[in-house]
Amino acid sequence: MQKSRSALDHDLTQNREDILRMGSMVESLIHWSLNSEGVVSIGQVTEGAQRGTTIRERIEKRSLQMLATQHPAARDLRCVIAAMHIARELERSVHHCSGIARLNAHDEEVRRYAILQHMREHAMTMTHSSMDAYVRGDAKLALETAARDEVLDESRTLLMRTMLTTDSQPAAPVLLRAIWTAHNLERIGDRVVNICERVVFEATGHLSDASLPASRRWMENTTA
Amino acid sequence: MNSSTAPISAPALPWIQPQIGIQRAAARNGDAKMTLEDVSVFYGAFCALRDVNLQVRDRRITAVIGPSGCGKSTLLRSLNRMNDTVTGCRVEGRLLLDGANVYDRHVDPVAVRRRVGMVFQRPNPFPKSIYENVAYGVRLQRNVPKREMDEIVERCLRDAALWDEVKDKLQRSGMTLSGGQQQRLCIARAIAVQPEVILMDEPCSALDPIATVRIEELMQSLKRDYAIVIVTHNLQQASRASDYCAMMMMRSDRAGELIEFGETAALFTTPQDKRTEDYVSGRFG
Repeated sequence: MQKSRSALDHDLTQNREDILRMGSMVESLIHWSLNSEGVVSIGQVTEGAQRGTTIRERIEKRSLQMLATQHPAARDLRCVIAAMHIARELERSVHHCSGIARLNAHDEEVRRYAILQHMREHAMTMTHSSMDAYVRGDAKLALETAARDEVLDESRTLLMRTMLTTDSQPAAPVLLRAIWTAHNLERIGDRVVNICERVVFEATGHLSDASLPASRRWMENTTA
Repeated sequence: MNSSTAPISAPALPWIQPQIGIQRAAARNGDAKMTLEDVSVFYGAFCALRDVNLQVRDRRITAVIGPSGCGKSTLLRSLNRMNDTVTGCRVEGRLLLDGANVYDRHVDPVAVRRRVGMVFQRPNPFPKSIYENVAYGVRLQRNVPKREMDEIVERCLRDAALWDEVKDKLQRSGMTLSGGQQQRLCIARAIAVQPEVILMDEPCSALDPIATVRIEELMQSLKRDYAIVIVTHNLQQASRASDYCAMMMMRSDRAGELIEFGETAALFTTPQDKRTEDYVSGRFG
């Protein structure tokens, strides 16, 4: 049993390290996909996306082996399930970053919008914070992080309203790229919310929609 | 209450004529079939089980898990007064079957065991024919015409998922069957006397995985009619086969205690007690 237990601990640690590796990669890609001083190349983006998929597949394969051979239970089981979900969310975030980079690889104009830079910073902070909550198993921090998603939602709405109603409307291609960029950043925020839900699940066993205020209040009371 | 002081039954009590059909029709799925209230079991001065409070629900499977020596088997054996056969064994508290105390001084332990059957760790068929193994208990209860007995034997063997394998060799010795078949024969023997609760003490520990699966499937079909309590060291078996789970642990004074009870899915995913968490996660030893 001791041998099995240590094997399970080893695999759980590996999963955790892989998740953090992906989280770090997402943060980095968010930063570089919309950096005003220059974005990553398409090749780098593609490589990042492939790497994200590879790590996600590795986590899923390892998790499957753990389920089949180690029969994890209680928190161990929740860790395995949560890792699979979080890996999927991070992989999707990588794809959103790829989308942003592709949109802006050859055009500096969109990158100059302050509101998009603000959204970029916010998405990075949220991703970082969700990884902190994951490492610490901190449900409270996860809920606080999920609550910050409203900023991205509001920013995207504000950007669209501003750009569509302003007298000095940019050219259609720029307008569309800006909207799609904002959309991708907003979706990264949604992914972070999903990650936070899984962190709460792993820490407490409760699974609920962290984006709904009622659910958040309920979970806050439960995890207090 | 010492077993040796328990007199043979009083005719007025329901234990002799349990009116199984009437009682079972009134019971609803999931109702408490047996209730333990502050049950403690002593072997002489040694307390093997302390202050257990638990409900065994009708038509549900309740698994009892925990490390060796925590009192699982003692708890199981106290449910049908099997501990009465142990010299110096004493039970305190109330152990109710359909609201009536099993350890009431007027209750006949044999009548209790008729209502609360038991299947043991090792298959223990009588050294008799397959047919006689099933018919034996029924015959002790009452005289049954041959034709009716044939029907009872067939029904019980069918319910135990053994009929198709033995229908052509009913007069062969039960000892000639494989281990898994012998265990199912023991289950057929147990249900032949129409119990209401079936206790199983590690029924699959001596069986291979295929026979184990058959017993677990059998348990799922039996729970439509019976409350089942199973003691098992196999956590996977407890998690996949039971509806409710009782986690037991040994206290510092070596007495067994119930530390957590709840729905199996909850106990294996979100246990409330740290000791349960550690045990089901394999963090022990």
